[in-house]
Amino acid sequence: MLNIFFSHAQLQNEIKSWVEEGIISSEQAESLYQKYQLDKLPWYRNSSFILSAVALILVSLGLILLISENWHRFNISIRSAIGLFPLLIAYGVGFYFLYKDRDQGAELAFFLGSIVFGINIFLQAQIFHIDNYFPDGFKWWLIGAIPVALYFRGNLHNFLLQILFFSWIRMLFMHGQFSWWSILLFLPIVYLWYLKPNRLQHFFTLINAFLLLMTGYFFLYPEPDESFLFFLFGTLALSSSLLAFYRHRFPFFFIRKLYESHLLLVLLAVFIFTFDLPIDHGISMDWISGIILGISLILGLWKSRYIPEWWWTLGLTVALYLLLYTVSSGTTAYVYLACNILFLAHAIWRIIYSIQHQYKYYFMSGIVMMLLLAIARFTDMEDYIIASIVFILGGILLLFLNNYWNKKYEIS
Amino acid sequence: MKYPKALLFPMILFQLGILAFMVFNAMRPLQTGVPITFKTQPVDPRDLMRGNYVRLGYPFSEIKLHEIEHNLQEVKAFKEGDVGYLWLQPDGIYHKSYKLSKAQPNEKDFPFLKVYITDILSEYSNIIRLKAGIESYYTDKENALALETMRRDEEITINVEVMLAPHGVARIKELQVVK
Repeated sequence: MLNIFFSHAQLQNEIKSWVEEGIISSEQAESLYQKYQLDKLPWYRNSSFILSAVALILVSLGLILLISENWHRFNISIRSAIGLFPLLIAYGVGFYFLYKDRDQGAELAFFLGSIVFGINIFLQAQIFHIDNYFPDGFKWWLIGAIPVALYFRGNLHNFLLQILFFSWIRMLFMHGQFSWWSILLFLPIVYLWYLKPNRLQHFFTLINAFLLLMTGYFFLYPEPDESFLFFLFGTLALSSSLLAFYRHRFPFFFIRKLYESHLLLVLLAVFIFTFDLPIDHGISMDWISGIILGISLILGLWKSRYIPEWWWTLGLTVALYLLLYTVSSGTTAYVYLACNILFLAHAIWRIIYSIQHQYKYYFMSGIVMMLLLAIARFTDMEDYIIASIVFILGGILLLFLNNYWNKKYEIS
Repeated sequence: MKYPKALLFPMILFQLGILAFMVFNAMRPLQTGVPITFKTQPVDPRDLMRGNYVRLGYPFSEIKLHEIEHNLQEVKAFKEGDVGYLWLQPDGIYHKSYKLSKAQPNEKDFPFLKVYITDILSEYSNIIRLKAGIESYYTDKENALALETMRRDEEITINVEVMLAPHGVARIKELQVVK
């Protein structure tokens, strides 16, 4: 659980006491400080800024509700003033703080300004009864908010961009639309995420990238076939490749879990095809997935080639794609056989890898995968004697492996 | 701060510029357009961002292709979100759909509406759904509910007067309740 030690004050004190007691040297203490970024302020030490941001978000939601009332009885000037007045106040306060060198105050005020800027856009939609501002209003909101976010490069502004992009791209996706603007506007969001990544940003970037790719895919293929599955796995392989570009900014544990989660999703698909499913026809050639896998391979070879989970994610995706691409009616047996071999090979690799690297999670997951495969095949088997032998041998193997691990690494 | 403070001024002016540009675009059809009238059927939805508003349905929102002129190949090539042009013809006090085309018409005899395809033609249906950006009428809660109630009264007709700009963009001018 490496991640919980990040910026941890208690660990900081412990390390100091270890140095004093001579348990570790100052150099070792320094290495630990760097590894867990203990010289950085933990997030809760910045609570004043966070609480102010939450307060501003509440104020903004209040303004949205105020505008949602639709003050139809007032004329255009009064209704416009309802939105413009707080916008100008936010700008004014922002510049005041900026020139007083109160950076956090300025960042907060311009954050409020960027929200109220968007509220003004939707206020226009109301005043002029414009339906097209859903989703176009979000696009304009993003265009206006991006320069300010690039100026401050803070989590707050970055988070606003992510939410806006999500709101916009989700609407495009729901309406089956695609906009070239989405690619252009996503680039600064990715840049800011790269500059200042955190877990929430990572989550939103993945979701937004996925939705962006989906809108593009459905734009090109309005009625997709099964090859869509490979588009999904291709994006997983690509995000695995991209992960390596900033893995030094996160705890190793967290990055490893992300790689594993991508791999597990691909393994799930392989597992589904370990059943003797009727496959009437293979999937069609899908050049978008091909390009995504190609980019993933290039980026991965550059940065992820030492990470076995990346190789498995990409390899299993390509293998499954080729298997289903070459399949034709009546010749489906080899898909079933190949997927069983692939799944078993991966389980065996997990066990061997775990023993070599003393990584018990992989040891246990490899065994669970083998058991899963055995149970799955049990449902296929009609011969009770063979099934019973497989299960008895499986049980003995599991006991043997468990004892082996305990003897080699834990008991000793 | 990593950048000079003065750099923030053009960024804020850019935001204000966007707002001004949007207001200009929103007002242009109201000032340069010609008035035309559509019959409508309002329903009363609500959501957080839009607040109280009535959703307006028009005769052109859902078009049976055999009722208008069109080029089938062109119409079949439409994708959701594509822009099309709906030619209009006077029909009493209203305007009715006359032709759907992908290219912007040149003829000055027919007013035309810039529309977005929301539902494309399927193999089994000859209906195409369109949106012209005038499907929402924002109002206060009481008015929205009153309009919704009036819709059920057969003796009441609800019309929308829109201003149609020469480039086909329409803007709602007013909602008219006729007994």
